[in-house]
Amino acid sequence: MNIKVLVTLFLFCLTLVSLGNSYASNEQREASPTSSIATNPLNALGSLFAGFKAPNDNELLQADEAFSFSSQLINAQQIRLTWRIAEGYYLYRDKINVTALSPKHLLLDDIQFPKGTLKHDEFFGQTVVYHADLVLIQHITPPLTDNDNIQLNIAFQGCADIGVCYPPMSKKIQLSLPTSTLPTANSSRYVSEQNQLAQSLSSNALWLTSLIFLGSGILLALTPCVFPMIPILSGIIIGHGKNLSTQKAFYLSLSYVLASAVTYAVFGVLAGLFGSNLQASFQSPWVITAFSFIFILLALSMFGLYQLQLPSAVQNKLSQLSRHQKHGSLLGSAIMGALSTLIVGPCVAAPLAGVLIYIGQTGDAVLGAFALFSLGLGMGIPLIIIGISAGRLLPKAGHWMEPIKYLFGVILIALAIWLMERILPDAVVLILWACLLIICAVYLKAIDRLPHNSSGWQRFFKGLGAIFFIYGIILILGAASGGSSLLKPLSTFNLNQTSVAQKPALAFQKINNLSDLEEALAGAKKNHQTVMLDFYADWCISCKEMDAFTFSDPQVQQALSDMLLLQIDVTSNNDNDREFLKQFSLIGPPAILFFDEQAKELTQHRVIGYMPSHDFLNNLRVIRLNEKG
Amino acid sequence: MKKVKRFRPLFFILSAFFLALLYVMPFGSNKKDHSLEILNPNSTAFSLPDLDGKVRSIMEWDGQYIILNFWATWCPPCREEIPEFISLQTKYAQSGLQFIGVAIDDPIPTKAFSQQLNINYPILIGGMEGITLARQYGNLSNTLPFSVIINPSGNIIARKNGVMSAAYILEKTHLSTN
Repeated sequence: MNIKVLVTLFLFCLTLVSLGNSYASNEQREASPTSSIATNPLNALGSLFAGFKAPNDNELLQADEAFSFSSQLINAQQIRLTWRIAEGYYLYRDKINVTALSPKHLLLDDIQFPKGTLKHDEFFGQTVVYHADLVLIQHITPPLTDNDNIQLNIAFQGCADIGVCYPPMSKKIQLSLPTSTLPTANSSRYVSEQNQLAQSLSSNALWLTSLIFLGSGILLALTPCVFPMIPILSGIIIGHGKNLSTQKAFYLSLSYVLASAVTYAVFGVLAGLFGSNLQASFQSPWVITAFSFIFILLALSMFGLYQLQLPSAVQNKLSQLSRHQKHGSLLGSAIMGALSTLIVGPCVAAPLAGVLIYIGQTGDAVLGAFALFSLGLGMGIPLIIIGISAGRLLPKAGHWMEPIKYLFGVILIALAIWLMERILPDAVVLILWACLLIICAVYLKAIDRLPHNSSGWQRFFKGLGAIFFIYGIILILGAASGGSSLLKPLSTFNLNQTSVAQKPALAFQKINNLSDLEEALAGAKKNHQTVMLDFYADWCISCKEMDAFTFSDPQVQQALSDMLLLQIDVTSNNDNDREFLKQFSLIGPPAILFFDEQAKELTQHRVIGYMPSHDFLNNLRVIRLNEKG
Repeated sequence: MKKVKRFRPLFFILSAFFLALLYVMPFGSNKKDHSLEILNPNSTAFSLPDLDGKVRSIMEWDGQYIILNFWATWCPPCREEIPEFISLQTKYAQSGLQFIGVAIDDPIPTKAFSQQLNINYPILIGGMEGITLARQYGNLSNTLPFSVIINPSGNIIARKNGVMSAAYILEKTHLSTN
């Protein structure tokens, strides 16, 4: 009995902690510029009726917003230059000018300009201008080799239709072929976590590699990354009904975990071969919506609205194929395992980055697949243990399982909302949470009259339901007043909020694209400042850990005080974000990059993944020493 | 007694819920600040070379209505408004109106253009740094043309991104030909 209680308790704590991170993510949103207008109640009302907002006096876009520029190396001979020109703005063809800064022998072929539109100019006559998107391909000779690093300067100039012009702009870009980013010459000095992984991989045999990754997987399972998988797996096992043997529970867990591991392996190989961030593309709204929908369906079956099972025809066929009709559910478990990996796994980006860089370097997809498979297996071992124990410890019968089943139903819905948080506006998310709370409250009989002879537990649940109910209402109020925080929904009603606002963890300067970064780096170079660039995303749990534990450390803040702190938010994972990540050969956040006073990236000091403040301080110290030496 | 025993797991679960909630709370206090860029509203006095290379100070023209116009030869709308400025300068010079052009440009094209149009007011060469000066005068978008009207007591009474029409200037300065 006691073990049973402990296991349930442990399970529940884990899920809550994992959900807790979603609270945290909600809180973080307050830092987003859209919600920062909600600091006083009037503005908050205004944001509800955003359509009525008085137009801003200064409607002109900043140059980088009007002409968002990016560049990309297509292959060894071609560079793609892209301008996203905002509506109502245009660039002059004649003012676009690409020059080579280094190497000196680099030849730039003439660019084939697209047609553009003709614009009459009183003084210059007919000029060609470009509206909307402009993509140019710059050919270079000789083709780039592996170790080449080219620097180009791109100058351009444009105006807005309303009759203003922007001064000539120039962007310096630095490009090199993406492979062999491993620093070989200076690797003896200091190797970042990411490169350490890549190096230890390349010097070891297949089985040893797999073993290392099995171990890392088990360690990873102790991070919050795996927590969201626990309720899913438990849901499958518990939802399986009363006559669940330990053996069956083991098979179910195993198929879930194996499928998850296989997904990692497949994903690793594919990502290695195609060099794209597959997992990130699973953050697309469609996939998230679909998965949330699946969660809701599962939750409804938890509530007993229907039984999840294959159509009887298919079931019969399956039972004909094999004596026991257990394959269907094993398959279902496996499918859930595979999907869960893709959706809830992006927070393990750090070790993944190491493996993927390694695959990229060796081109040995088989070894990479084994490494990732072991990693997934390692991460799944605790899941199997939980699965078995849940199966064994759950009694064969008894209706006490029903509340637990409902509980998992609620948790599945909570997971669905948590997923949708990435794509829905804050207010809608808040309302969804409110709905969940209030409906739970009603099921807890919060608004029913208690019978006279009701037990203490009934009273307790009614009380709990009432709390849920009231909090749900507060959330609705908060959402209606422009609040976005799950924990402080009514913060918008606080007039003195700005004066009581807590000391910010770290004052990051937000950047949105590569040109922002270049500009900031140029500024830092002028001021002889070291730069720290932090990749952040709402769905990145290690980033939150960095914020909560490392960046909040006064010693860290002190050590960073003379650095220029930049942050790019890649939550939306749009093309721009992906390109930014690609530029630095990163797979995803968390990643912290440092640039020296010459604006050169210190690749060996990269911090990938969570780093406690002590290690982080050490890293900073080494950077400083190297700079002086 | 039996009943209580049955619900024990749930009691633990609920305690765990609140404990977990407490654990989660500290995350919430981690807030980031957005500081707005504060512009210096008081324009600073500046000196720049004119077309002949002579350094001129803005203070030279204190006590008049100054239209400080930031422009460039590569900026078509800037060139469009200059003929009107020239005629206003002729018409209202006696009433205390003084145009000053700051070219965000190189001296050679600026000089050529000034001669072509016979600009009858001082043109100063700001170069690309001139855009910083314009920013100090409140040009938030760094675009051209950008003009400010400074009254005789040295206060900026109007700022405009884009073409500044004669009607606008006359409305702000209340000047008339007399």
